[in-house]
Amino acid sequence: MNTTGWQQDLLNTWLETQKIWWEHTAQVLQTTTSLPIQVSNNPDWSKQIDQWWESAITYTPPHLQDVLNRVLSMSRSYLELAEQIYTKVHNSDAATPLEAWLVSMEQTFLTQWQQQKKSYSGGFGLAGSLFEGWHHLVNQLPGMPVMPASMRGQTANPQEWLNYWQKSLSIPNASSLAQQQTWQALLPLINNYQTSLAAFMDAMAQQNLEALQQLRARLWHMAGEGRSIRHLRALYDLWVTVSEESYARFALSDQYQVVYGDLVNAHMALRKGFGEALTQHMHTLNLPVRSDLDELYRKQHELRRENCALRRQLAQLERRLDALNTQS
Amino acid sequence: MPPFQMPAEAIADEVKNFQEKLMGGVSNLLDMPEVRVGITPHEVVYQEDKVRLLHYYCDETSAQAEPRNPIPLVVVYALINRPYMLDLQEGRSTLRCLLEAGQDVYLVDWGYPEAAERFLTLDDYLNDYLDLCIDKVCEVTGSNQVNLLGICQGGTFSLCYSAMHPEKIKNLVTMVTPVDFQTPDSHLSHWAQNVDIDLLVDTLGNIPGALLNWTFLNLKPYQLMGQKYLNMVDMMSDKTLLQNFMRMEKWIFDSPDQAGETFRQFIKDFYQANRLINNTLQIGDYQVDLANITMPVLNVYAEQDHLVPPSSSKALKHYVKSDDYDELVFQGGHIGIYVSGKAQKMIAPAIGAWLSEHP
Repeated sequence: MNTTGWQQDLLNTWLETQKIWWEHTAQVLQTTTSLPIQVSNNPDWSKQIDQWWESAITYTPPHLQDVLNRVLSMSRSYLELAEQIYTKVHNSDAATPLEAWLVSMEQTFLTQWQQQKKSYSGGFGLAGSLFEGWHHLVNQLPGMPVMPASMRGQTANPQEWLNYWQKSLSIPNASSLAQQQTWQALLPLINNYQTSLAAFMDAMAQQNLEALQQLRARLWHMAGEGRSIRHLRALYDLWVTVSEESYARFALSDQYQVVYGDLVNAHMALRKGFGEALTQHMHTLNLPVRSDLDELYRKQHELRRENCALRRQLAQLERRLDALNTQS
Repeated sequence: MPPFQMPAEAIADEVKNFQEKLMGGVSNLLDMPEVRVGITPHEVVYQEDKVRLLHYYCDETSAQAEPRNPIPLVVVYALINRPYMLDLQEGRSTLRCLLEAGQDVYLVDWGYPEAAERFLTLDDYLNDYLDLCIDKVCEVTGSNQVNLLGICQGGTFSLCYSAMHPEKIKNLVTMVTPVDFQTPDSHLSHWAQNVDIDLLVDTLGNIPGALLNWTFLNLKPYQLMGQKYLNMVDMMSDKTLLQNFMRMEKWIFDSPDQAGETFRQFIKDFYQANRLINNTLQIGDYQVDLANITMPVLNVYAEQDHLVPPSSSKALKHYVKSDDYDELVFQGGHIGIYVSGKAQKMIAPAIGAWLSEHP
């Protein structure tokens, strides 16, 4: 292909891409105007957001996907709050709908953590964000395969987890006795990580419960002063204020220091153990591993420092030479 | 009076309004071009590995074309996040304000460390990269000394550098800088005490920016992971506000990885052992003694700083031996001190004026 033809092809492809993008954007805009507001005894506004987003995500430019995900995730949680309050108010058998909602939230915190259920929707999205955020982070870190989706948010059976990894890395010769033993050595590390994760999440759940109790006290204090909440958003904002105050105290406690440190340390120990097991396998296959690469980087770093020192010495000598030349 | 007074219809109306705002806002967002950051003209005057030294200058539209202060100003930002926070957009640029205050502005951009940089130490960053940059500025400008402005972790670096090479620094300005790393109100310090840093660095090599981001978001999780995005829905109908939000969002999640060995030393020596103020800090061949800082010092801190508590910054006055020590307090937070309208009018002009008064 000659240069002109190649450029023309490139231009055509680019124009076609732009056209498709704008057509898709137009479809998204059409979709945005057609979201119905549904009112019933048990509305599912949050699910509507999900359905809309599933249809829109395909057409969203990549640089906007992360931020839109965050906005829509938070909107979904906010609409879940609206659904819960609406249901309590609409089904007015409860004498005080807000109290009924607070009680149901407390029960949610208690039961969801105690039973280690798969999803965690309490806390207007916050606790879910913390939990999901941790797993998202863990999956982003290098050197270990991602956690199986079915086990996210759960205290999975360590053996099940180990099996998953062994399958994921079905390396030839992986079934030798020595290598089986290497994998088995990871079991206590997995157990330790699961225990630390559960302790961290339990502590967070306890803090959220306390925040709810403080929210209740704040609301009744307001009522005693003749003030009341008249907007959902005002209720949400008050919850954020109260929770942030409660969390700030908790995060400075000895308990938080311990559960936070233990979680990070247990995860790193597991990751390190996994890396060592993987290295052993790679050695069996005569493949280079990270420690080999690190050795090269270390040498390169030493050479860079040596080079820098030599450059400085040279500059110093040049200055001395200049001074001598000036004197003579 | 019951604490909550909303009939079911009012709740449904509020939901409807929210959904309309969200949908309209998403349309605005999709219409918006990708945001641009870093607006002040500049050129790269020196580069060493991934570190670049940038020289900023005013364009023709600016009232102040030539610097009035003959001593060049070197700005040292943190390794965490990117320095374009100081030059975010028109009307929100600390660097632009410093230029307009008559300063000759240079900025050290540390870049994005990769795997090959994992063995870089604080000695490399300060006694090599920063020192080379300062020598270069002196060579280009013909000055024997520079004014140093260190920001956040960059402020701590500037303190160490000024203590190790006091002869090269005419005046020192620290901005939202941690000095005492173990004040009782410091969440970061509290969290770092029980983390096995050796295990962390040995396992990960370089420390991923995402890990640091997660840590910073956890300082105020209810606001930063939740409420902020509902606030965004409220502002999405205003394209200017939306662009401002997107610039901040871009900056927050633009987190370079940290060179492993530097991170190891920074957390262990500063956060866990508080060596900067215990006078036991060793960087390369140097014992870092803050008492060597005898040049004029301006210490700028933010009263509502959730990352670097004011108590941590204000400790500086007890350790430097400068006869000319000033403080400047900003009534705002760690980020607002660079980007808020109030800061643009108050902080950078005040720093510029202080530097010009110390020729």
